[in-house]
Amino acid sequence: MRQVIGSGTPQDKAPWREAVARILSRHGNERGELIPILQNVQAELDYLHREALEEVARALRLSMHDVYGVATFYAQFRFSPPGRHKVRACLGTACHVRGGDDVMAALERRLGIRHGETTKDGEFSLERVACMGCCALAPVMVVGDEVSGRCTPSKVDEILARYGGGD
Amino acid sequence: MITIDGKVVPFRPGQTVLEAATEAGIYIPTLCSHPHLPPFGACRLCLVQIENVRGLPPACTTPAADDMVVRTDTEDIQRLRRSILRLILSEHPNSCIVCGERELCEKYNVCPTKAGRVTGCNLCPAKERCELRRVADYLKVDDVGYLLDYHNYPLERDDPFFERDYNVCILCGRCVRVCEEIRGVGAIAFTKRGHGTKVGTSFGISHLDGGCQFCGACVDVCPTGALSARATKWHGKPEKKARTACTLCGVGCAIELQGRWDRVMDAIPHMDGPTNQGQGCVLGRFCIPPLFNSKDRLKYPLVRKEGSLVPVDWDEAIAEAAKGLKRYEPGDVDILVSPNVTNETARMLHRLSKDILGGARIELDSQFDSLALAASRSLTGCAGSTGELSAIDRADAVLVVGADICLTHPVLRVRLNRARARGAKIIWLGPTRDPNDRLVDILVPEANYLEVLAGTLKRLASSAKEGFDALSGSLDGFTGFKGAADISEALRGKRAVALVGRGIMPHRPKATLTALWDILVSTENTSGLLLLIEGNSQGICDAGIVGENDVRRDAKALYVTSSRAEMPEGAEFVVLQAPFSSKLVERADVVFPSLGLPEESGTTTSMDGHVQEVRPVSKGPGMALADAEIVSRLVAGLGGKKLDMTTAQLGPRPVRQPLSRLYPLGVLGPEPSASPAPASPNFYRGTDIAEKVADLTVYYRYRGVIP
Ligand code: SF4
Ligand code: SF4
Ligand code: SF4
Ligand code: FES
Ligand code: FES
Repeated sequence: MRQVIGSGTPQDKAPWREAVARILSRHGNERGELIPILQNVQAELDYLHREALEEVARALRLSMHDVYGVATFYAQFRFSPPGRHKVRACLGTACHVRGGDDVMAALERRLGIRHGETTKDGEFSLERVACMGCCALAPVMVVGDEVSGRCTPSKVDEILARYGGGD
Repeated sequence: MITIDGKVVPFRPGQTVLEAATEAGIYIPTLCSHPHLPPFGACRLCLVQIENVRGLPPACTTPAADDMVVRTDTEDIQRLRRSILRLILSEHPNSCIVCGERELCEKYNVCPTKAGRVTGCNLCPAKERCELRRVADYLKVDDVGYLLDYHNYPLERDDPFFERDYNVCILCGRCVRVCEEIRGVGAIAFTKRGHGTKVGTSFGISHLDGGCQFCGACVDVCPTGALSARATKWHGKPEKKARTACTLCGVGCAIELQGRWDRVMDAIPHMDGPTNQGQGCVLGRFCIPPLFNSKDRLKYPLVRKEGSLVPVDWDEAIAEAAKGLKRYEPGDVDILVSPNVTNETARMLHRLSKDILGGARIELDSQFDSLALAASRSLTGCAGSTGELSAIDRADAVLVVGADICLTHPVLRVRLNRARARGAKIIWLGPTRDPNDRLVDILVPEANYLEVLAGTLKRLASSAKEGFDALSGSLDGFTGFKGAADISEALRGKRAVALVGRGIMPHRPKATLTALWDILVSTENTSGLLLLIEGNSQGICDAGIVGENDVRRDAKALYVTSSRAEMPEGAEFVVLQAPFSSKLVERADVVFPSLGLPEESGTTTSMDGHVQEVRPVSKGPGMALADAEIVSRLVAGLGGKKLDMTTAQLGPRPVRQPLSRLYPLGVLGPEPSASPAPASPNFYRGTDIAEKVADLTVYYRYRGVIP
């Protein structure tokens, strides 16, 4: 572990810093624990932001870009705060076969973001998932807890409108 | 011995099949392996057949062994390679590779066409050096068989020095590996996965923001046109090449200069440099062409007539300078030597001052370098470092004192990184602007770092067997500093290297050097290296020129080869010899335009004593002449015998004496009266390099080095 004598350690004690420090020490600052560390950080902070990744990288003496590279390899990590309404579109096998891609494309177009991102007003975030376990309804999309089956692009408009979005 | 394609060839232990083949002149196509990098085995183009080995192993990761029988080009192998390459080309603009008109096009369409986006080799800056094209030619791929999947990534052109077009990237990983494994920076990584995999920074931030040091190592290993140097990407093939030694900092990296149109067009690090081993830095890699092709070069000899400088021929300028200098007593003349001139020039200037001008004062124009050299000479009897840079490769602990290496000697980071990877402890005393501080084990960034050093030395001295009593007495009161205990523990009894930089200048530098040399460097297995700021300070010192002060306030006549010198108010007659125009020209009575680094011949000496040859790749501008030639003409003008290199021979270097521990010590610590170091870290012949190279200004502004 690196040692900084005098200044150098961040002075501001934002709550997220403490959370990250706690997680890091729980994992003994071990490089091999990078994935579980990132999982825990995301669980605490809802998403991985730049400062958090910097902090993790510094503690493990890795490059921040490397850590980001590892994190982006896995679909489970997100890098922008989740929106008030979490929108998920299924691209599992059944949904893929029945037009999941069209649903995703419609969502991306309507919300003006790509999957993995959040709208500027913080209302919607969009994610892709692989199978929601209700393949009979394919293609499936979910807003918050509400599951909608047999989606089509025009149905996407209708659903988003109910949440006040999509124009 | 190993048999490759029926040829029995030798190999050295540890070599791979690929290396053995390459040395024997047998070509095996490769895309991901590179001589600077450890084997990776990702592209699978180097697959070979080895008798009694199952499958087709990659030559780049398979160690050569005795009695191995290898085939590199059976039809099976070629077919497999071809299908791998087709897959690579399915995501790479390939129209020119498979084009039926290619032969004629190559013949008549010889220059690369400048284009924003690369849609084929003819519009690609890497056309002349592309390894992908070479492999495609070797495998005779003339159809790809897949629809081109063009990624349509935006071009990345917002950073200084080099540009990136990841639409032609083949994901060989060389850039990522060189940045992380060799440079220890890790400014780029593979992001995302599968089809979306792309080399980039975290969150797509700029390279400036992401901590890139613009060393250019990634650009030089990239096999395609994905990465290219902005200023030189469209220059095509060089007409001339020359191996020379860079003098933009004290390390003296071996570089290959490339010339065209009688100018220097590019400079890349040379594989076999004793101090840099194939690596370079932002200065040597990117700043040489813009610096020396700058419009501010002095082109004609000038003489002041009726108050204004007018161009004249050389004879007149020399005569004018000689006439002027002769008017003064030797005691009234000062010669100021730039730390960037060659050893030969320095020796001739030395002769000029002693024999021709009868004892004019001669000084090296570099504050830190002359002080450090003079101090080390009084300590050991031999001016300079007590070891070579390679000592870092064997050290268990490296102590950096007052040096922001990422700015002053960027290439040394490579050695430090290698030492760290080996498990050596890196201890860093002093502030740093290095954004990638994971290199360092113990960091003391506070302004009082020299007091921490004093405390460390006190602890080391008190525990040493021999008596350091007198010495350590003056360090009393420092032991309590936080960190001193940990640092002395990390150094005690270890093979160590101390690197000392110009940061010690405002803080009683001689006392610091003396204490450090006496207590730490005098121990067995420990070297002290002076991080000389400028190109050839060591060589100039070896030529007998070293001083401790700047120009005297009362010199009446000055002959200066560096533009930085402040002029004493009383100077009546000034001769300036420099490659660049500067404010000093306004005060000069005679101006000699001299050649610069890419135009010079001779030798220079690195900060650790390697004498290397300097070779030209271009002519200077206008009537500019080599420094040695100018000095020798001036000597003749002054009525002396013409000097040449042989009359400027140098005696043997003095032998280093054991440290005597007799030097009176001041207390270490700040000494507020001393003049602060200049903001800008890099000079050539007194000219601030960042002032002349726009991209360097951008980079240094961003790091907060210059306002
Ligand atoms: S990188 Fe090579 S193969 Fe690709 S377009 Fe450029 S020259 Fe052609
Ligand atoms: S220029 Fe050097 S530091 Fe920057 S990305 Fe390339 S290799 Fe890394
Ligand atoms: S940018 Fe160049 S070196 Fe880096 S992965 Fe792509 S092709 Fe290889
Ligand atoms: S594949 Fe979409 S719900 Fe199963
Ligand atoms: S060169 Fe051997 S696998 Fe790429």
